[in-house]
Order: sequence, then structure tokens, then C-alpha cells
Amino acid sequence: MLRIECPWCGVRNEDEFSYGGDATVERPADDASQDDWYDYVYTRANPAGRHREYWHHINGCRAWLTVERDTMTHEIFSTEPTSASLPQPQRKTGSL
Amino acid sequence: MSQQYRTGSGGQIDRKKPIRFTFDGKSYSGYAGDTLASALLANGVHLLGRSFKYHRPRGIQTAGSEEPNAIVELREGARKEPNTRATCIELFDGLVANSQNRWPSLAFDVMAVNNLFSPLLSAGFYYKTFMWPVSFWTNVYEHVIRRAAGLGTASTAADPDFYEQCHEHCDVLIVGAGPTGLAAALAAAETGARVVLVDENPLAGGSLNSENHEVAGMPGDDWAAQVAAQLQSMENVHLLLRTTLFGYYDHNVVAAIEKVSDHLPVPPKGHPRQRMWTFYPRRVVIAAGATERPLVFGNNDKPGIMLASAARAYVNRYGVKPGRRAIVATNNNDAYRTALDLHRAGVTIAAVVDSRAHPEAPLAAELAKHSIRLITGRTIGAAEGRQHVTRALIVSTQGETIDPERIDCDLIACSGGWNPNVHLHSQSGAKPVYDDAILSFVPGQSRQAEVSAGAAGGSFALRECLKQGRAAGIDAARQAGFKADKASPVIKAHDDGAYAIEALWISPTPYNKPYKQFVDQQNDVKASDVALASQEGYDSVELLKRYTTQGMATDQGKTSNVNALAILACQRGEPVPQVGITTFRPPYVPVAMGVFAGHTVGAEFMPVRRTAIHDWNAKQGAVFIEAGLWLRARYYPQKPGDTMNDCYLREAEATRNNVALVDVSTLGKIDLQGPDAAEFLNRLYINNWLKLPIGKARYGIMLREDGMVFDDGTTSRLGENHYFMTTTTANAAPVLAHMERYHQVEWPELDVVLCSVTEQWTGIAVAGPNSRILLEKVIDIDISNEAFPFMAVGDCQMNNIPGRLFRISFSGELAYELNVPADYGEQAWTELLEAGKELGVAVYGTEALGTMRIEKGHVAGSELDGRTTAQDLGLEGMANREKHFIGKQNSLLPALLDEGRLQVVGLKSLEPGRNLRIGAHLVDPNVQIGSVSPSQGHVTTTTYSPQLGYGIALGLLRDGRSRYGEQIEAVFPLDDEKLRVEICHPVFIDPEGELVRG
Amino acid sequence: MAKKQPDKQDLVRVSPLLPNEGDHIIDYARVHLVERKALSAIQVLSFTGKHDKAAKAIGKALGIDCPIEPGHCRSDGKTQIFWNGPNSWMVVASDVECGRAAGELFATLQDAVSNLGAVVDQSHGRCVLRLSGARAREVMAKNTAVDLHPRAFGAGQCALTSIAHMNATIVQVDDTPTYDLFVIRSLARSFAHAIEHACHEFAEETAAG
Repeated sequence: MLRIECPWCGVRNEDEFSYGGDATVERPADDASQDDWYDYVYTRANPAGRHREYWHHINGCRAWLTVERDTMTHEIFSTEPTSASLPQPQRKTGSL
Repeated sequence: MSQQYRTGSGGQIDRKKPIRFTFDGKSYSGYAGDTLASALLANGVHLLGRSFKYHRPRGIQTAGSEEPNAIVELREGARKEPNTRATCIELFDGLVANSQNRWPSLAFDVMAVNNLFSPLLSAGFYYKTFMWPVSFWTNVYEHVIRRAAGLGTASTAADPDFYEQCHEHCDVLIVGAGPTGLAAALAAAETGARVVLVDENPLAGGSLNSENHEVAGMPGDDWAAQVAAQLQSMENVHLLLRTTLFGYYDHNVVAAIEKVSDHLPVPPKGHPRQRMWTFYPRRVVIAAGATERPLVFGNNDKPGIMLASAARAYVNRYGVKPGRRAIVATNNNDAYRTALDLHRAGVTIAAVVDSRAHPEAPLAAELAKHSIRLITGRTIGAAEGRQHVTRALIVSTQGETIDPERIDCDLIACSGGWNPNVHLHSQSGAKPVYDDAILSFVPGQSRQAEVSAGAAGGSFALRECLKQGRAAGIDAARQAGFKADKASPVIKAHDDGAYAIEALWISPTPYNKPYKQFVDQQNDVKASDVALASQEGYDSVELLKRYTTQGMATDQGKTSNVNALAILACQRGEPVPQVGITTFRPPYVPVAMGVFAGHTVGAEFMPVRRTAIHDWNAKQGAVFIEAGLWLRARYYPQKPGDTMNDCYLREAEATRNNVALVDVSTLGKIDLQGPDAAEFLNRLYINNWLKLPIGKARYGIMLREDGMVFDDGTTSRLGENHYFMTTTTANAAPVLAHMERYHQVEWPELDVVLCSVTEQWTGIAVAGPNSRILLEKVIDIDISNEAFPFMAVGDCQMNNIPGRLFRISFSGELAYELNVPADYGEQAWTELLEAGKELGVAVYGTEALGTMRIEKGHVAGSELDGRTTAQDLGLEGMANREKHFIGKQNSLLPALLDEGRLQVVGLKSLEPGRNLRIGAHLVDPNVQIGSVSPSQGHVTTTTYSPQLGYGIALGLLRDGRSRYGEQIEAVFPLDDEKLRVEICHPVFIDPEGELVRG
Repeated sequence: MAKKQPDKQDLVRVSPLLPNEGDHIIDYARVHLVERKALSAIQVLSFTGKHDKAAKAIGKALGIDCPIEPGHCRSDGKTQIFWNGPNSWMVVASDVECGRAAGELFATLQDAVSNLGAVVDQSHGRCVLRLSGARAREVMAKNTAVDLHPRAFGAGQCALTSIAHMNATIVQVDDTPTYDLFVIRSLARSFAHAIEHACHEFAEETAAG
């Protein structure tokens, strides 16, 4: 069971979140080539170790989060709001 | 004679509370505080079961949860529970238990013949013996193996009890309430930290209950009881007895099982049988103690042979003499206590056999004081006896061929040393390391917030346990952020002597005869099996485990793992640490499936979503269908004997010819507001959204990034910056998550907010040529075709209910959808029915809804299967290629535009009275590869069309759109069905859409 | 077309859980569960960059500080405002208790928030249960992994989480403890069943425990 710290809600069980995939992949510009769009959908690095990924706090505050996680050990190094335009969390983090 | 092996006094049993119980149909008595094992021993019953493979008679080896042999079927009927450890079953009045894995009786077991065929049943025998012929597997081998090998049988009746789950957060979790754990809990609790202390026993105290130790100037068990009471009275401490921590997971989450009612005949009203705890501790102190390992000698599995610590537990804790004439065999100091305790209780000690040539002088002196014979430099080579041990053969540890001494006995208490319980430490991701001083594995570097203390950390002396426990408790509390300035003083205890051991992993056999020397008694794995596995190349620990099954099943090799590794090391001629240790995985003890399910079983397996019209539907006798979590009315029987066909045909006809209502509340509804709402929709949908007027709805299609169609529905513009989207029932949640992703991750520059309003509204579709006439009676706005044309949207009052009306149609008829706040949903529904009475208004369910959507050629979930593009569905004309939208680029990938893709078509049955079947394959009988006509597509949804008078369907067919008019076969090979069908345009009725606009 | 005159009884809100009379589900000595019926629940979502202004506007309109800190709730004893996500609040009240006409709270908020955000009526979309009593915290622990220990969670706090595998919001009302539990309307019965089930263990207890 992963425990993921939502920057707004605090640390919650993994089952409150849904995995949103690789956060290192950037969505191409509208007029990018078909190859770029193909890579965006289908090509993934699948690294062993530190990895940035999206998680959606779907059974909580519904914020999308960018999480840096070690894919080997599940250690989570950081959790940040993905959207810069949502009001940012004003709370002390780190409580259980 | 009853309880003839009970001591005269002592033990933590209540001799004033006798308890009757039954084992294998025979009635016995015991006392409150007994386990089933101790009560049977008190009655002189040692034979409890037959072994897994060889059906050898087996008795009681331990006094705890590590028991490999004494497993029984507990209770009867629906509550029958197989593979229950007699050593852990607390005795209750009326308890019924039965031995297992024997036939026809425990004493005479036909399958014991396996014992004679044991050369055939060596390591890996499953893989070797039953190889050929292949056909024998299903017909012969599986049947025979299942009958011969295997443990108890489970009840097939539903479990009458319930289980539940519970969560708890704490600063310090302490596993084990023995001396170490109690000291840790006291120290941690006094800092003010939130402490949880769990122990699998019904009493706190651990080994203190089985030993004659003195702690803080009182008997150890009294001290434990006193500390437990003190802890229980503290508001920051939660002491959970009968609770076994069985799993250590990522991020310091641990799980335990609490046996709430297992010690009672039936659970008290409202109470679960068992409860699963998930703990979220900041720090964990593992004070789980140690497990003794047996000696490996010939016939070491006979009833009457048990661990030295178990013999001590039976005599001290339960007041039971496990025999009358005992031999104590050991390779370490600890077992001497067993000899002295048994002696004190009146058991004759025939000898203490110590494999070490020179045991420490004080130990020998203590025995001499009680005139107990000590044999050194020797060990037991083999035991004799049929269903119970009667004699031991003593051999030199050096293995020289001498005539072994024969000593009569009815009890062998043996100790091969102690293994710290490193299971949880290993489960946490850490690697235990080998410690030469104790010849066992001790915890290595921690990977999570855990530390082992006391015996679990490899320190067995009582004083050391108390000291380490206290230190670990203080440390853990400190690391959880608490100050430990007033921590309790060190607890005083008597010196129980230092632990010392010399290796003896396997005994020489007398006369070099091939005695069976069991390593893993539960799986019938012998020392020779380990050797064989090694010779055959299965010489890594992980392979050994899987090849021999050593360490598997209910005891997970708690008593056998280290012996097996050491014997493997001997085989490989390497030191034990080089061989390594297998990784322990949860669960530490068997855990019932029920406790993982908790109360979410039966009707509560999944939550159920009900619409506001549900109760009305139920009262009408509607038949429901699950749609995701929703229950939707499928059809409405009107009289007894009405079939589904009768109903949906009647309901569809009523809609097509008159007017009818359907509950469409389950459609997803999303409210979008903000200056950029239109732009957001424009990027989301493939069609145009920038010029939709206020008060109008539009049908939209959205794709995934890979170009496949994701969902469809109508979205209405309610105000300048206000839109109301509907989704399919199935995709309501995924579409919202998808929109939130694009809003937050990809397009944060768009100023828009969105939220689900699915639950706020009850949706009622009013469909049919008379729908306007019906609605005009109750709606306060002008809904004439001129004032309220197709795709119009407006606020309204229905009688006195506020609502919103949409002129949209799924059935293809003139139709409206009325949304009202859900608490008024049933009222709106019944008022519409009342108003429509004179018209003969009807209601219809999802079955008729489906029929009409097929007739109209509307694609739905069965066609939007995640593999179809807008082009496959014939909807590509909607796409605006001038703008950008999700999935645009990838929908243009060559593979998605190629010829040969499956396209939506209509299908007509050409055989009167026969309908198509969902999932049938579409084949051209004239095209054959070999003897098979390859599938060219499949039927996605099907119905009988009351309008047309024959069976119709939608299907996905290769290049289907260019094949209208062709005849083909719909085949269903599972039932050997074939049906001639004609391919046609998917819109069967009113292709110009005149009805909806009328 | 002429307006239709209401010719039926007055509008009655039919609650999703107990559609008929009564609101008590569990009434044991040390744990109580009731349905709070016919509440107004108005969701406010702030537009980009307008969050603080929207909070002030709501606060001014209702005379209650609108919580900016996540996981917090403010109340004047009758009207609750709880944090409902990074850009969202939920305003909850019983119109009858507050002496407001139906729809008045929605209109008040819409006026106050105006172009700072969206105001969405969810009054009919939620079922609200009130769980209270000395055993309430233990009942909650059976269904949620959120730490509700007084050191971690108290009156004036709320959590958007999952309870018995259903999305729900926990608002702690007082230190009894009393919790208001919000769940979507359609799940009302499954949700109540799970909470109810967790209460049964305490059925035989007396007030003294």
C-alpha cells in the first residue's frame, strides 16, 4: 500500500488515487509531426528508479499531482500540484 | 480416566471451570485457559493427524502458531474450518474438532501405504512421477493426488459469520507483548506517544507465561498481567490481544488479524468473527520473539516428540505433563530448563542428551543436583515406536559405528537452537543476516521504520530482552517526535543464563540405516529430499523451496527453514550465510479470505447506485439490470408470466405509437462554467462548439489521444459562460477524470471550472408522437415546434416542480428530456404518469430503450469499445479538421484509415422468427481458409424490431459500409448456430430524422 | 401558452435514504446515526486567480469566515462552509433552521460570487448522515483510513476521502465526536448500510459503557 501525500489533503492511501502515467512526456504542440504525436501516445522509457508520474486524487480533492517515485522501492521523494493555475495548497504538510 | 496427565496444581488454567469438548467424536474435558492441544495432551491424546504425503501419524510439536503437525478441522457445518492449529485453538465449551488427512480413521489410515512407496514420493515427485501419459493427468493423476495428498476440507456452506476491517494510526507499533514488547510499550507509552501493542496470544507476557522467570520481584506472568493492565488503562495505548501481525507492506503499512470471536462457540451478536487491522505507524518495534527449531534425527516426527520449549509451556502454562518419562535432547543451553521444569512437575527425566562434548559446568551441576543423568557428545540418532515414541537410540555425534544406547521414553523434548522471528523484518524489504554466535539469522539493515528487539533481534536472555525493549520503545517514541525525559527505569529480572550453542544440523543415523529424518514435517520434506534437490541442481534456497515444497503451506516453514538451509549448506560444502535465506512474504500466519473481504460480501459486494425513481420502479415490479454500479429498470412485467420479450416489445410499441417515459437519471452530467468553457469543449470534442447559441444543445463526440472514440453525448449552453454536458452512463466518471486532467495538466491556461451534477438531477425522457401533448399539460413554457424546436433547451416548471427541458431524442421519436432536482424526481414521474393517463402513457426500461436505439442506428457502449474510430462508426463527418482536438493527429495514423477496418453496419435476419446473437461472428461461407471461414467482424448488439417485424442488429464488419445489400452468415460456434443475414445501413427507421424534428 | 397552476400538494423533498417519516437509523446508547434531510448544499468553484476574492465574498455574504486552508470547515452553528477541493467550497444549511426560503442560499451565493466563480446547486445530489456518540470514532475507523484521532483531526476539520469504498466527505462538527458524512445521493443506502453495520457491535452497550 503506497501512502501518497496530497499537497492539499495530507498523506492518504494509494486507493484514493488513480495512476495517471508518465509525467516526463510532454504533450506535443497542435501542429507537431505525426511522429511526435505517435511517440506521445505510445513511446515510454519505463525507467527503473526515480520517475516522475501523475496521480489523480480521484477519491479525494480531485487534484492532479506530480509525484516523483522510485519504481524499484516505491519511495516517494516529492508530491506537487500539477496545475499552476489552481489555488496552491496553504497548509503545513507532513502529517500522517 | 480424565485428564490423567494434568499436574496437581499450577498453570494459567482455571481448574474451577471445566470445559467439555469433542475430538474425532470422542468426548473429553479440559479447563478454561487450555488450548485444544494442551487439553488433548492432558487426556493423553498425542495422535492428532496424518502427514501430508506419507500419511504418517503426527502429534503436537509446538505450543504456538509455528505448529506444523497438529492441524485439525475445527467446528462443524457451515462454520467448519480446516487446517486449524490445535496449539492456537482456545478451548470453549462444546468445541468440536476432527483430525484430517486420514481415511477411514486416524489410527488406521489406508493411505499410510504411501509411507512404503516413499522412494516414489521424493523431492519433486510431482514433476517426475506423473509426467506420462499426458491424458492421465485429468483422468487419473489429478484425482489420485487430490485424494491422497492435501489437508482438510472446507465447508461448502455460506459462512454465517461476518468479518470487518479497521484502520488505526499510531506513533509506535509494538509487535509482541512478551517481556521485550511490554518493556517497549511501557517506555514508549510514558512519552505520551500513541502506542499500539499487539500479541497473538489471549494473554500478554509471551514466554513469561511458559517459564519460571522472576521479573520486578514477582513471578513473570504476574508482572506481565500487571503491566498489561497498566497499559490498558492508559488513553494513549491500544493493547490488542489475539491479534497477529501478518504483513509488513510498503510505506510502513502493516496488517494484522484480530480473532475477535474465535475463542467463543459463536460470535456475540453484532460482533465479527475476525477483524483485519491496517496500522499506519510512524515506527515499528518488532518484539516478536524467537522460534525453536527441532533436531533432525530418524523418525523425529513421531507423536511424543516435541520442542523443548513446548514441553516447558505445557507443563508450566497449562499444567500438563506431556509425558511420564522424558529424554531432553539439545545442542544448546536452553533446553536444560525443560529438564528441570519437567522434573519439578514429576516427569521422570531419563536423560539429558547434549550433543556438545563440554556443556557449561553450571548446567551439568544443576542436573546433578537433581540426580538427572547427562549424556554429552551424543545425540538421538533415531526414535522408535509405532503411533507414539517408545524409545530413543543414542548415537555419537561423531557418527562412528557403535551400538547405540536404547533409552525408553514416551516423550522426547528436543532443541536444535533458536531462530529470531525475522519474518516481518524480511517482509519490510530488509535482508536478515547470519549470526555465527547463535547459528541463525538476525535482522539486517532496516529498510523501513522498524527495529527488532529482544529475542527477535537475536538476544535471548531475559534481562537483555527487558533492557532492549525499553531502549527500543524510547527510541521509537523519540523518532516519532516525542521527548523521553521521564522514561521508566530498567526493569529488574533474574539471570536466566547466557545462551550458547554448537552446530548440530543433522544426526548420524544408527547403523547408517536410511531413517526418515524430517526437516519440514508439514510438507513431509526429509533431509534426503534436500540432498536430492541439491544433487539435481536445485541448490539455491529459492529453488529448493519450490522443488521440495519445504517452507510452504500453513506454517510457512517456521520450524524448518533454518534447518533446511543449513543442511543445504552442508550439501554444498559452504557456510550457511553463503546459501542465504528465502524472502519471507505475507501472510505470517494463515488469514481467512473472509477477513480480506470484510463486510463487502453478498449484496454488499459492490455499492449500489439507485435513482430517485428506484422505489417506484421496485413497487411496480420492474426487473432491474446492473449498469456499472447503477440498478436500472430493464423492463416492467404487467401480468404474471410476462417475459422480457413480451415487455420490451409492448414498451417499444407504446413509445413508437403513443408516448412513454424512461428513467435516464444515470447519464453522467457535468457542469462547466467559465470564460473559456467554450474553448475547452472545442478542444475536447471533435466538432465545433464556439458558436452554439444559448438555449441550444448539440451532440458531440470525444476521442482519446490515440484517436479512438471515447464517449458521446449532448452538451447544452445554458448561459454566456455556462454549459451542461451529458455523458454515457458507463463513462460518467472516466469522462470527468479525463476533463480534469486536461484542465489541470495540459491546459491550465483555460479559465474554466467543472463539477459533476449527475446526482442533482433526475432525468426523465418523454418519448413518442404524443410526448408534446402530454408535456403541454404540465409544462409552463411554450413547447410548440416553432418555439421549442429540436435541440432546444430551457428552464421550465412542471406543475410546481422547477426543472429544465431538453428537446433531444435517443429513441428516434419526437421526444423530450426533463430534468428535475432529484428529491422531486419521483413526484415528477408520477405526475407525468397521472397527466398522461388519458393518453395511455406507458413506462419503458433499458431493454426497450436498447431496441429503439438499434432501430435508429445510434451507436452506444457496445460499439464504442475503445477500438473504434469516428470513421469506423460513420461519424467522421462531424469532425472539424480546421481546429485542434484531442486525438486528432493520431486518428490520422495510416493504420486507422486503412481499408479492411471494422465498420458499423446494420444487420437483418433473413430467417423469419430467428434473431441474431451478440458476439456472433460474421463470416462469408464462400471464403474459406482450410475448412474454416475466417471472421470478418462480429455482432455488437441485437434485438427483434417490432417496427420492422424481424431480427435486427448492429455489428462491426470489415469494410462494412461498402457492403450494404450483401448476404453473410452470423455464426455462433459455441452453440453450433448459423444465421443468414443481410448487411444494411445501420439506421433502420426514419433515416432522414423527420420524426424527431416533427 | 398559459401557465399551469400547481394543482397538487406542495413540493415535498423526498430524501434518498429514509423517504418517509423519521430520520433515525441507529440509536444506541453510545452511537447515533441520523439522516439530515432536505439540506441546501451549494458548491462554489472559483475561477483562475479569483479564489481569495471569492472566499471573501462568500464570507461577507454569509457572515462566516470562508476557509482557505485545505481540510477545514467553518460554521455559525447553522450554516457550514467546508473546503471541497483546491478551488471549491460547499455551503450547507437547513433552510428551515436558517429561516431561508428555498433557493435563497443559492441566490445569495450567486449574487456574492458573481463572476469570481461558479455556483452550483448540489442540494438534491447529496445524502448527509450525522454520526455521533462516544463510539463514533471507532465506527468511522472501520470504514475510513483517515486518522480521526483527536490529535490529528478535530471539530472544524473536514476530509474528502473514501468511506467503505465510496467517495465521501467527513466534517467533524464537535468533540462528542459528531461527524457529518456527505455522500452522493445514489449511494445513500449502500453507504448507510456500511456505517450501520459498523455500529452493531455497540448495540448492547449502556450509556456508561
